[in-house]
Amino acid sequence: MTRMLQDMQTSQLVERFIDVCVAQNEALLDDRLAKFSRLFEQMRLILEELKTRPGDQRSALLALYDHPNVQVRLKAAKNTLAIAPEATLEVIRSIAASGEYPQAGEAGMSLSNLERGIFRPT
Amino acid sequence: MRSLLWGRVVEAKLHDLERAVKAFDPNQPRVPAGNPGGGQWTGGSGGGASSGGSGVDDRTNADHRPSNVILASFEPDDEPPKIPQERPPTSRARSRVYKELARWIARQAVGKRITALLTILDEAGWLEPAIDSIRTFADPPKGLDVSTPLPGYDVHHIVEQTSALRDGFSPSRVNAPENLVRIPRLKHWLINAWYQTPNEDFDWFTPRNHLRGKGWEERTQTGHDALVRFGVLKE
Repeated sequence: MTRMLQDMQTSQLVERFIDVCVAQNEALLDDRLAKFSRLFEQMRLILEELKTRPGDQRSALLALYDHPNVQVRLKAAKNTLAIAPEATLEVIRSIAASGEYPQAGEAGMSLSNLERGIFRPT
Repeated sequence: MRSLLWGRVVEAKLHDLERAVKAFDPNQPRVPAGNPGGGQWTGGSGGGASSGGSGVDDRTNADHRPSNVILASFEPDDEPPKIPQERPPTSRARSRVYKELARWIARQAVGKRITALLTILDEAGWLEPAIDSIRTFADPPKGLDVSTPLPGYDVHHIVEQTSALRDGFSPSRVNAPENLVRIPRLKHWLINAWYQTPNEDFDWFTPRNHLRGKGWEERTQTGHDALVRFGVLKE
């Protein structure tokens, strides 16, 4: 998996990130939590690959802040907090206030966890 | 199905309009200015006509008494989710429908939620056993009260029950009244799922794993935050 990701262009990794997040949303709606966990690990590996590229290519995810899928927006925002904190917090706050559960709940919890110092974006 | 629902929405709106015109009374009292819902029509009981989502009574009122508040606000904000006309065979598939429907209803303005619910129930009768769970999802936040059973609500442990017992906390503490709260069933499901899914906030672990070995206070803080952030309690 990691090897395959290393061979992909950044734009392809972003596309893969979107696909994985959309599948995560479906898994959450279907209560398939084991499947969600597998998809979450795939997302983590994509993020790791983006982060190791020159200039920290997670910045390519900033373009997803307006994505129509709320899970894509949430995951893009949470994983770019260290790069663009102010813009990201705005996205997370708007999801928290959207009533789009479960993402609204997770976004709100992330705000609480940031305040409490539990969530330390790197 | 979607077009059928939209058809029913329009039909219900016309029906409301007809009832409201027939029943219009210029002397009907309104909620005084300065109060929540000020200026809106009221039955004079002090409850207000726009309380929405407060129980079966509201459904009965919406069904039998014309409500100018519902009339004024009955304009769906977005397209309803796909709802199968036949009951899905698995509980997983049914719970997905409940969640999507509850989320859609919660997005509608308070005054039109009841009408939206009735409209959908007309078209997909198999939803009836779950209607309380769907209806309560859109309820405004409630307080910490587990004394009275309520349809569509579950008793929820603020500090997670199983993991706390596994970590050696006593059953009397875990099941004490101060650790219990009655919350909408679908919110209960969502919070439980949140505890079980991995999360960036906790170094990529699940909240449940993160809390393993932690003290009661931290667990309570997380449990309380979850109730607020999932819209069950006020901040």
